[in-house]
Amino acid sequence: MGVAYRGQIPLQDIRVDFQVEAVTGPDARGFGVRKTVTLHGPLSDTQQLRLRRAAEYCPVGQLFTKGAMALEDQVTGSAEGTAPAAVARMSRVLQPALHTPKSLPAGAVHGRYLAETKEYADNGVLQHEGEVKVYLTCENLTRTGPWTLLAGHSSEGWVPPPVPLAYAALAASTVTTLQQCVSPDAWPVAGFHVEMAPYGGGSRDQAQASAAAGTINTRRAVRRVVLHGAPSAGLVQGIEAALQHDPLSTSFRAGGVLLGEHIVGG
Amino acid sequence: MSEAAMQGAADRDSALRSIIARPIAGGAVHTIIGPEPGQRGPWSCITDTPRPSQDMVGPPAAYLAVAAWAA
Repeated sequence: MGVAYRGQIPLQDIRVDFQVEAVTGPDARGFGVRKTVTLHGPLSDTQQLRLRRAAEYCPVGQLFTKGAMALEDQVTGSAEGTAPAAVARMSRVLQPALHTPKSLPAGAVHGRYLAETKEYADNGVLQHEGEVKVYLTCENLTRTGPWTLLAGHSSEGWVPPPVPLAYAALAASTVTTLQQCVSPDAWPVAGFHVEMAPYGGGSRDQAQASAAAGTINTRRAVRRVVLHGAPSAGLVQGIEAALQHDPLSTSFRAGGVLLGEHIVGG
Repeated sequence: MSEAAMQGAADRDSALRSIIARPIAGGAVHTIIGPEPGQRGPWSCITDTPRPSQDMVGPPAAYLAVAAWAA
């Protein structure tokens, strides 16, 4: 919506629908998506093409389609008096049992733009693109979701912006993958957590300019797995190996998640 | 090391954590997104995976990322 405003494109409304599918292959991505974007407004073919490119190169879309993330992994111990480097050396003796993460259930994600949340300054300039209501549903072994969340840009800031939400998903995916891949016996009794520290990402205006121009704006972040206590032997090596199996890490680093895309007029 | 590389290393070393994810009971994950300057927050979300013996308390993490794409 921000690109349409800056390009004076008469986009009145937009809907985005994703079908999520499990995909088997040699890499750890494990899933793919089919995207349908429905544009409402009196748009020319050229304007539709510009919006299609903007959607492809939007900050989060770039992660999925272009692999626009440079991710540095760190594994640290928080045991008192035990330096992380010493922990790492000590831990490379044995490797805990490594399991394959579970495949992602099929489902759908639907984004509905809340046009009334768009905000303008007193001089009529767009200040915030507004918020999006997102519906999520997936195959479940007990019952089907669904879940609803809000994300986007607003001055009140009640909802998370898209890029931090994508980073949060990566952190959560990392925890899930480590739980599934590393034997429970290998973890310190007090457990672990994962931190994300993004840096050098540029401003929202810069990101939207990249989207409009169809250029890649690489996102950089440090991902830390913090162990609460002294790790068992081989745990650090096992964690490093498990991180290579995380579906979102692979997706954000390598792209290629998009299985199909349709742009339709509403 | 080039000036750009040195700046990149400095940016990386000064990067502060803004997101924390931790496992919670039952295998779900609680993630907290810290606010950036000018934002409110923090925001919290729960993700989970399908299990035969209990309901999911949140969507899978990959779905949260697709939701970010949708937004």
